[in-house]
Amino acid sequence: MQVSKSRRVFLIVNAIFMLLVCLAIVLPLWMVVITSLSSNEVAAAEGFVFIPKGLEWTSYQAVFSSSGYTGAFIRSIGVTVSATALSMALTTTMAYALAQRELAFRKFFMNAVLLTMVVDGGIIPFYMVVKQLGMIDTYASLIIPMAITTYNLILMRNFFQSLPESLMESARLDGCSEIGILCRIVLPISVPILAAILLFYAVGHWNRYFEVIMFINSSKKYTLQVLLRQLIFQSEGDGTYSVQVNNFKMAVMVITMLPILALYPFIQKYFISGLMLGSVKG
Amino acid sequence: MKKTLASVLAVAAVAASLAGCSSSTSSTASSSTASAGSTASSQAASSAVSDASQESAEPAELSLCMSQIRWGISVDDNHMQQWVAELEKATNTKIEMIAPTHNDYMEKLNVLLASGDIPDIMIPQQAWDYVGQFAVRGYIQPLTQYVENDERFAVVKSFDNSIYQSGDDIYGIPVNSGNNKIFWFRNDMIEKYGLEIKETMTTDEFITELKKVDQSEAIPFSFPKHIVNFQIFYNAFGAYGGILPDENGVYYDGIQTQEMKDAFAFIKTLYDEGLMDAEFITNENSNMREKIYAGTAVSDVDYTSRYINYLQSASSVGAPTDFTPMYSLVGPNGDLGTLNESGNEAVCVSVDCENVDAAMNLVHYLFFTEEGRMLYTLGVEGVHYDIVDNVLTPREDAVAAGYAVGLSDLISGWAAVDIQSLGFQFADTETAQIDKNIEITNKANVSYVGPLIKIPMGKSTLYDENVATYNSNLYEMATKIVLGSQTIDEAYADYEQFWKSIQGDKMLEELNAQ
Repeated sequence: MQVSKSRRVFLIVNAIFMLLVCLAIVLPLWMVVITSLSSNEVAAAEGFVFIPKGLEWTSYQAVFSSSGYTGAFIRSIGVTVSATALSMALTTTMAYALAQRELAFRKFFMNAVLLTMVVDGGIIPFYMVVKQLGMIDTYASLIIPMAITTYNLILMRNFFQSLPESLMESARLDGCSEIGILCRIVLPISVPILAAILLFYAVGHWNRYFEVIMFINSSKKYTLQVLLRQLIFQSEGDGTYSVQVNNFKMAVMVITMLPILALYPFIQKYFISGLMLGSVKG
Repeated sequence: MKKTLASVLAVAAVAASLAGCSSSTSSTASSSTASAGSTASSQAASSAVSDASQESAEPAELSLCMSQIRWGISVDDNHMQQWVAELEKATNTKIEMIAPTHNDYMEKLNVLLASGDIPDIMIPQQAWDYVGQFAVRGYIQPLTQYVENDERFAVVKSFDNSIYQSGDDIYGIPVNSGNNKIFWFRNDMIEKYGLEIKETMTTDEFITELKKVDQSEAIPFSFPKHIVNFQIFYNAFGAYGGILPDENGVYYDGIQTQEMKDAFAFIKTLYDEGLMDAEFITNENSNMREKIYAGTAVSDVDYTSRYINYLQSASSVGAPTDFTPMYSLVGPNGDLGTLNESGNEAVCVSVDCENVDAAMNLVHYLFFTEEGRMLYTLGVEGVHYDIVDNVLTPREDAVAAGYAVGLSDLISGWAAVDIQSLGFQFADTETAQIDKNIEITNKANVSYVGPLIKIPMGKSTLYDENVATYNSNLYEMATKIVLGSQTIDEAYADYEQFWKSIQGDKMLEELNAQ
């Protein structure tokens, strides 16, 4: 096929541009990994290391050599899994309900949901609500108040609305209940959006930091992110603390990234299509 | 049927997601009512309860809010719990831990206070600003009787406790006896670039020496993002970032002076010439320290008590060297002074505390006894360290969780811990180094200590209302000038408007009417 000159120029420019975009993503990640595998001396002298100079695992050994990390890691996994499960359950059912055109006061409910995107009470009212519910210093404070993200809810509702109504009508004619329709008809054909929202929730819950600081008091309930952040800034105060240089900090970053990186390949194929599908209809 | 079911589902889900909003108003009201004051009644109640608890010898229940690195230094929860157990045993208390990370400590504390969840004991940072504000808002109770009449805290009388004053009462007890920041230089860099570093240097000498550093190899002078630390430069020009009294006791605005303009111009020169760390505005203290440890920076500003920590940290990152202190810059008129951060952290007790005596017993033990100070700064033997061949040796798992021997805190504490006669040595620390650190600390405290001027709350309503805004405006103004987003004249034109907006002149009148 004949390719015009202007088209060829466009393709080259496009390829270069995309290559630069890829490099902008890959190079920092590369530096993080290589720095985490560098010695104290190399990392201290160079800050960030681009070309490996004698790789070693000492930073990772340092992170994992204390029992505190294992506990914090398990707590983080526990909170992320349970919070994501609850989030998915609530978001799916609520989105399905809001997608029903016959729903009484549907507009009111939708506006009430949208209102939470615009109006934010701030941290002190939020804290007081959690406190009134008796959830301070409990894992529930990290799971229940953050169970539904409005953006994800709208995304899922839009997707459900885009499904052919005839599918649901057929099921109803066959005597299927609403829960049955949701579980047997809607969810099996909504895997892309479910995968995308699952990843959003999982990443959000895994990275949660501020709420942990605000709602959790005892160190034995701290998640990995809090523990690791404290380790990074340990020499911040006026006292004496062991110095942490960049290799240690980057090892911490790699460790926090890994679980999500490990999850991503399994749902990647659904991810993009899920986002696109959800955004088609408003 | 489907409508009903869908409606129920939707109502349940919306109610769940909005549940929080329903109770916020009432909880706010009830909480603010609860925290709004009644100091006297809570004090009466507290002494009664505390007497009762002492009689029964039951452990007193106390909530203690300290940053995560204060519970034995290691952030490993197992170590922290064992540290708490030691403290509980020594003070006959049952402690509820509130341990936010160091950087988020004040944010968490402010949320706790505003929501009525006031910890029994708290240790605010920048206490010279916050203690007065907390007192005015009715969060903490006066400790005047302890400071003035309790022999256990007699050493605190040597401290200028007016910085924690609101009205006629004192609301805080300083954690450390004296904390000064000075300039630190790496000796290997001094030799490499032929720098002439003296105990004090004129502002011109400082610039001249820093210019000798090859900026492509090292940052001449690193600095943290905390703009409040600019006071170390202001001191050399006889300027002060705040409202202060003149020699006749008449209050005036330290920002609206030629001295302050000269100080801003000096800092801007440091920045524009590339002598001051270009990244200073984002530098945490830890980032600044890492740079000087590793030798990517030649000098910085830090506490006098960190000398040994500097030696050890530089060695641990493979860039060992000795460090030279430079106590103060000297300005054109001979003014000088360290960055006086004495009283940066102070212990406060909640108005709602039901065991004030038990709380003060704990405060006394932890900060005013040798045993408590050792626990606070060194941790627990067998958990954080072992004594091996008469040498205090940190345990590996504790070091991995951030533990290091806290000689800095030991040196700057109120309890007179005689380090030389503890019966053991410190690993990787020579006696001469400890002596030198103590000498540096004492010299800064005695010969070069800079001003620390705080106006007690309660003198002027306008001041009480606006002091926080005044400070944040100063930090913003200084940042804009140094980074070049505003000229000094432009910044002062804006400041004039700000001064009017907070009724600055009337505020001075109120202060001077006292």
